[in-house]
Amino acid sequence: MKALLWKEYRQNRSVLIAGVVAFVLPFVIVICVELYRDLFWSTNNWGPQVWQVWLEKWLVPTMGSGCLSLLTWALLGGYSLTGERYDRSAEFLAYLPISRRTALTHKIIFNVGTCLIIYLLYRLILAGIVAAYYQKFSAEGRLPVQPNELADMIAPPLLYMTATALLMFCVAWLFSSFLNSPAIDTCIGLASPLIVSMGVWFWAWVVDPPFESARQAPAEEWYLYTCLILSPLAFLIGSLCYVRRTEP
Amino acid sequence: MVSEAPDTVIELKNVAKVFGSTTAVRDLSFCVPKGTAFGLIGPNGAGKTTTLKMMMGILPCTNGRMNILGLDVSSHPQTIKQRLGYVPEQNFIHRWMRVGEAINFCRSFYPTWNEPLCGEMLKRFDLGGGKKVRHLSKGMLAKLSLVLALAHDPEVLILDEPMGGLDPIAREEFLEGVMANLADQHRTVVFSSHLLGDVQRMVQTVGIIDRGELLTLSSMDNLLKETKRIRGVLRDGCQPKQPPAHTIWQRVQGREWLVTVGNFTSDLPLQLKSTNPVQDVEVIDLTLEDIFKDYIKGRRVQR
Repeated sequence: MKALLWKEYRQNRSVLIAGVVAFVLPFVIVICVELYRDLFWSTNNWGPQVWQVWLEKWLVPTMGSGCLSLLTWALLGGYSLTGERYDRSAEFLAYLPISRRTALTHKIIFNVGTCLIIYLLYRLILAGIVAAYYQKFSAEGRLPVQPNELADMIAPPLLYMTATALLMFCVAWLFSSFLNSPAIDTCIGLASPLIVSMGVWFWAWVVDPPFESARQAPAEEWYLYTCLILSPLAFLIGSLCYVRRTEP
Repeated sequence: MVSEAPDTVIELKNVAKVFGSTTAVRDLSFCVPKGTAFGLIGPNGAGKTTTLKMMMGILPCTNGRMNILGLDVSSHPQTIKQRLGYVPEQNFIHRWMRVGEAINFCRSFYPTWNEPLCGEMLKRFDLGGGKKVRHLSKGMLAKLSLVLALAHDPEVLILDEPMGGLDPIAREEFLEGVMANLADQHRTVVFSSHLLGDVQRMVQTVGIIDRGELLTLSSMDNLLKETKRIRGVLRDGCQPKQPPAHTIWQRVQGREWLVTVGNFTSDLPLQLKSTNPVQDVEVIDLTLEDIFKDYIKGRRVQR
């Protein structure tokens, strides 16, 4: 039903605006700094390491934009179910002939869709920067970083960022299914990667010290696996709690 | 599950609702026939809103059976909501919506949406579609709530203290809106309010509820006809010996004995004189408000 998707969009519009600002801000900062340098210092001479400066200049805000997008994921998860309970509009919806399953389906479509759009947009910008880098410097005949090296450089942080974003969204979603404050849900979502990484670290270094050697995997990888197991579990439990909840 | 009487629209049988250790509604049973207006009155915390929310399928019953329009509420909540209109005490329509957006939003869930009726009510209540819900006064919000509850031509209209906190003008306009729709004799109305004058004006049957229990259920005419207060003047130093049957409430203050009875007959004053040391007897007619107060006071004394 279009009406429910429209309602989800309007309900979460402030979160989406915050998300767009967070996404764009690092690029705006870089552009402003460049303009400032061009206008007041009139220097475009970056020395012999011009490729490195160029790559860093655009990769750093891209990574920053990705990190700030995590906030949007947590906010979406935290506000998705609690937002209506907080302003009590959930009571108004309860009088309408909308089943919990229908409401949940539309919430999932909207939230997962939005997260997916953020993620794809992010990947598109990243791909655009990499493509621009190759176009610019391969034409000049100097390409110090090969494609596979660049992929090795970008892929791991991207993977951890994705897993962390997923964990934040799903944990915030879980808590928003039974708490009444979106701020608390979002904070728990934001804190969840810290709690999980502390748990993995505690297990690896205190409870089971030969952890890494025995399993032939670094603790970071276990963080990744934990995120990938906990996230769908939290999402599923949160969805069930929402559907089975008696009160609006 | 089909209800037993064919003209019964609402049927509650031994309905109970328990929240943890608190029993909000206990063993509640009544029927509301089609096309009638039923008033459910009671003090704060009596269980009225809980009962109405159970009727709407928002809260499940702990015990008992509840049929609306021949359907079991617990198994067909969405079907029933399609055919019900509900005006709550406090309306929590999304504050960011405009009036027009709220109407468009609700319209999409009701295939029976009556566009001319909706437009007519908006005009009657002077509700502009561009106004934001957050900028509406309490009275305007109640009116919007009534429009949203009536515009899909519901067979049953449930009003849960919809006029609380409204000024007399807004209350009058709201009631006129309800009354105009009551002219349709097929519509059944369940009305809960603390404004007992309005209840007396609107409903044909009334139920008084306190602490989750139904104290009385009667047609408005019968209740007003059969419930009377008798003021007796007792002889010096005497106390009442035998209160009449169906005494709802009584009080002795000096020589004055006030007793409210539920089955008043014309020969009751004489009976009272013959069985008690009473000199004079006076029969006082009661309003719904007086009857309600006496029922509640009588119950509190019993406890």
